[in-house]
This record gives sequence, structure tokens and C-alpha cells, in this order.
Amino acid sequence: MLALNNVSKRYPGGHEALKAVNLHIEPAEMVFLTGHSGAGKSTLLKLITRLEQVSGGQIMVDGRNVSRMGEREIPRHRRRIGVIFQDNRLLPDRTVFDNVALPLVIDGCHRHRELQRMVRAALDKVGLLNRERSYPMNLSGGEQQRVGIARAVVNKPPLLLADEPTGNLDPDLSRDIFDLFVNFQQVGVTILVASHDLELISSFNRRRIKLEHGNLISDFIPDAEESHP
Amino acid sequence: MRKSRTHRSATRRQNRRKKQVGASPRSDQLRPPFGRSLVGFWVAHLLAFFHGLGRLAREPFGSLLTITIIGIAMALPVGLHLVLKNLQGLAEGWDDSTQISLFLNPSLTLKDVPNLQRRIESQVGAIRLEAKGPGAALAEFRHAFGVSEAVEVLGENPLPVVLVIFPDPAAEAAALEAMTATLQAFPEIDMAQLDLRWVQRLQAITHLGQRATLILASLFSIAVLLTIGNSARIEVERRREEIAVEKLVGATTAFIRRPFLYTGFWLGVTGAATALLLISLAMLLLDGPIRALLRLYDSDSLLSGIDLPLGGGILLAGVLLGVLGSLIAVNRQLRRIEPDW
Repeated sequence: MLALNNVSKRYPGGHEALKAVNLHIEPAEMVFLTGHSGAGKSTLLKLITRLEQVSGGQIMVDGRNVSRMGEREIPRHRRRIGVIFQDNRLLPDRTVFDNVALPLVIDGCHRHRELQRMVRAALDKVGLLNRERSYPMNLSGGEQQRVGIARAVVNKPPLLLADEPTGNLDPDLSRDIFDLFVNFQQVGVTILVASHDLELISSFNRRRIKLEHGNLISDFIPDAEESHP
Repeated sequence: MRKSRTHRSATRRQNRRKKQVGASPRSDQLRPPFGRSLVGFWVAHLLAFFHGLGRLAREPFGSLLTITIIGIAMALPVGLHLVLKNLQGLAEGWDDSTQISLFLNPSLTLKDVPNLQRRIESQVGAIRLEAKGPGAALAEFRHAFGVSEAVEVLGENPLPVVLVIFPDPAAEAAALEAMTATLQAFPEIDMAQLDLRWVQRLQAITHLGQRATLILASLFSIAVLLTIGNSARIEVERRREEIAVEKLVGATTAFIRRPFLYTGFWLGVTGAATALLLISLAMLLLDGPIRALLRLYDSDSLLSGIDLPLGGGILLAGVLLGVLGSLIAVNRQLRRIEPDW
């Protein structure tokens, strides 16, 4: 599903954010990406979504070479990836429904009934079906993050990326969010979660990779029999 | 244990399903059937069309300000154009009244005219000629200048017999001047005056005015372009976060740009309509005085205002300037917004 071959990223000014990283993630795998801030976690996610271009190596997503995509292919590439941010990035002047519907509208879905069905399905998955008319600022932090997740999954992308999705949440809410990810994994979505909440991560028996100074220094793969709680 | 197995089989089922889908390499591109259809295309544009209008309506004061500025900027050159057009119409009305006035020696009377006419024609060819006796000339003088009291004071009529020659309208100015010089040489003629120069001057002035209007129109078009571009730029800046998120979830530049272009379209159209309204108002205010002026010049030509081609042209110009202005500004601005997280 996701393959990084010798990926490196050097920023203008010489800072090397990633150094020859190799990583292969199978479809429907859920992987935690750990490391201190500045270790290269966010850089890795930005390279996968082509917010930034690799300096060397190649990234394959679902069989497509991300690093060789033309400008015109990038939007379509991003539609196949759901991204969840630490600060959720919801649009404050739009309702929950409209926020979640955004990827569908961008994808050209204008049939209201279809839009409604898909948005409600996504909101239902995160347990916020009754809040579709609310505005983000009237929701709690945990609810906002779940709306962000609904937006990321509404057009059923095969790959989900989450960058510190629980960074602003207390432990109970954080666990809820991770449980949601597990649910998505179970329906076949590939998930890469960047987080430094090691305590919470270790309670999920999932593959963990660790970045340090741009190097991939450990890749813990749990016993296959136990990889699904 | 039991639970785990169910989950695993569910996952396997999902994987199988994914594999089946994955068998066709472009399958996930086909997945959203919307978006590529022609109906979807028009719906997207229709939505952006009204979305663009909605953006204006959400900022009524700012929008009204911009629209008024555009309206005034477009009304000024168009108004000047109309003034010139009317002046030209006036000048054309007088074109065939180019004439040479011959003020005869006061000792001559109307009875001497046929004899003189023959002598003139023997020199300059056949001419159309009109003779005014001193009485008729005085009456005309009174009527045109409203100075009857002053004329009364004079006691006797000081005016000579006047012959007015209407030369061939196609004649060159130089030829007319030569003819005037010839006529001036006649001893019976005190003064030969060619009433051509002021028509020429008026024509030269209107030509100059036309050129000035063109320059003015170009400058004001740039002003409109910049005004619309600037409001598009501000709007993009205001929506920076929204645009960043849209880019993150895979919006194309065309998708992001579309509502801004339609906002520009609406600004241009409403600005042009405002210009038409302003001009119509000005014409309404000027109608009375101009009619009075035209009566003084014995002209019954009507004030020419905005006709269909001119009105349509103004609206079209508004649309083009609106879309172009926002296109330039938005393209420039969107490149600067790189999504970040």
C-alpha cells in the first residue's frame, strides 16, 4: 500500500529531515510512527501527500510513484489519502455537515442525496450524527477531532494519515480516537499514525516504527496472531 | 479468542474485496462517477456562480463600495464618449452649411446682385448663392443675439448686402480658401469670409477628444482591473485557511479559483450596470439644458444616449475586466498559499 525506498529529504539550508528511509506498509495495516518532535515524522507525512517533494529515493502509494507525479495529478492523489491533523483544521464558518462534505464536493459530488448519505455515514462512524448542524466552535475538542476524522474518511480513502491526532486531547478521548482508527483498519483501511504518546501506543498491539534525526531506527512488528485485539 | 477470529475474518474479507477492486488498475479513479460527467461540470459552475454572488452579499458594504468605484470608473470615459459623439453630431449637422459670406460695398443694393453673380461665376464657376438685403440681415442679427435695443439706438441700418455662397461640400479647405481670396479681390466686395475654420477646429477638437477618451478608457479599464484584482486578493487572503484545507484534501486549482472568478464576474457586471445607471442619470439631468442649447443652434438633432450596442459593450467590458482582474490576482495569490500543517 505504501512503500518508501531510500527516501531522503534535505531542506534548503542543509537540514536533513530524512535520511535514506525504507519502509513498506501492507494494505489494511495500522502503523504507529513515533519519535521526538523534529525527528522527521511530519516531514514523512508531507512527502506522502506530496505537500513536499523528496530530495532522493521514491515513494509509492497504492502502486503510484508519488515523487514523479505531475502538478496536475497531485489533487487526485490527495483525494485518495485521508489526513487527520493535530489541530483538526476544520473551517469555522461551516457546519459540521459542510466540513465533512468538503472532500466530496471537491471530488465533484453534487447529488445532494448521495452527499447526504455519505456524510451521514461518516458522521455515524465517529458517533456525531446528531451534530451535523452545529458549528465546530460549539463542539468539544474531542468532538472536533472526530469531525476531522469523519472528513478524512468520508470519501473512503484507502490510506489514512494522522499527525499527532491526540496531541490536544486528554487520555480517555485519545483512546477513543485510536479505537476509531482500529475500526477503520478492520474495514481495510491502511493507517499511519504519527504520535509520541508512547503509553497509549503500547496498549495497542500494532507495528511501531521510530524515527530519530531522520533515520528509521526501529521497526517493531508484533506477533501476527495478536495484531488484532 | 472467538472475537479475534471474527475480526480477522472480517479483515480478510475486506482485503479480498480490496484486492478484487485493485484488479483493475484504474478502478479507484472510476469510483466517483460524479465529477467527470458533463452535468457535474455544469452543476459545479452553477454552484460557483451563485457562491460567487453569495460572497458579495455577505460583505454588502465592501461590495457596494467596490461596485460604485467600478461604476464611476466606467461611467467617466463612456460619458466623455457620449459628449463627443453629440458634439460630432452637431458639427456634422453644420458641415454642409460651410459657407462663404461676402459683405458687399454699402453703396450696392440687391439690384446689383445678378450682375455681380455673373462676374463671380465667370471666375470661379457655377455657385449656389443666396442674397440677404440689409433688412433681412438685421432681423437675423436681432433674433440670434437678442440685441434689438442696441440696434434701435443705431437709428439707421448699418448692415450691407450680404451674399452667402454655399460651395460644394466635398471641396477641399485649400480650394475654398483660394476661392475666398479670389472673391476678396473683387472691388464690390468689402470682405469675403470663409466660415469653415471653426467647423474644422471643432472637428480637430473632437478628434483630440476621441483620442483622449481612448486613453482615458484604457486607464480606467486598468483601474477597474486593479480594483477587482485587489478585492480578489483581499478575499483570497481572508480565505487563506479555507484554501489551504481545500488544497490538503485534494482540490484542484480550478476548483479553488472558480468562486473567485465568479465573484469577479458579478463585480464586473454590477459595476457596469452601475455605470449605465450613472450615465442615464446624468443624461436625464442634462437633457433640459442641452435641448435649450440645441434650440439656439437651430438644431433639432436629439441627444444621443446609450444605445443597445454601447450598453451591451459596457456590460461585456465589465464581465471581461471582472473575470480577467480576478484571474490575474487569484493565480498570483494562490501560488503563494502552500498548505502546511
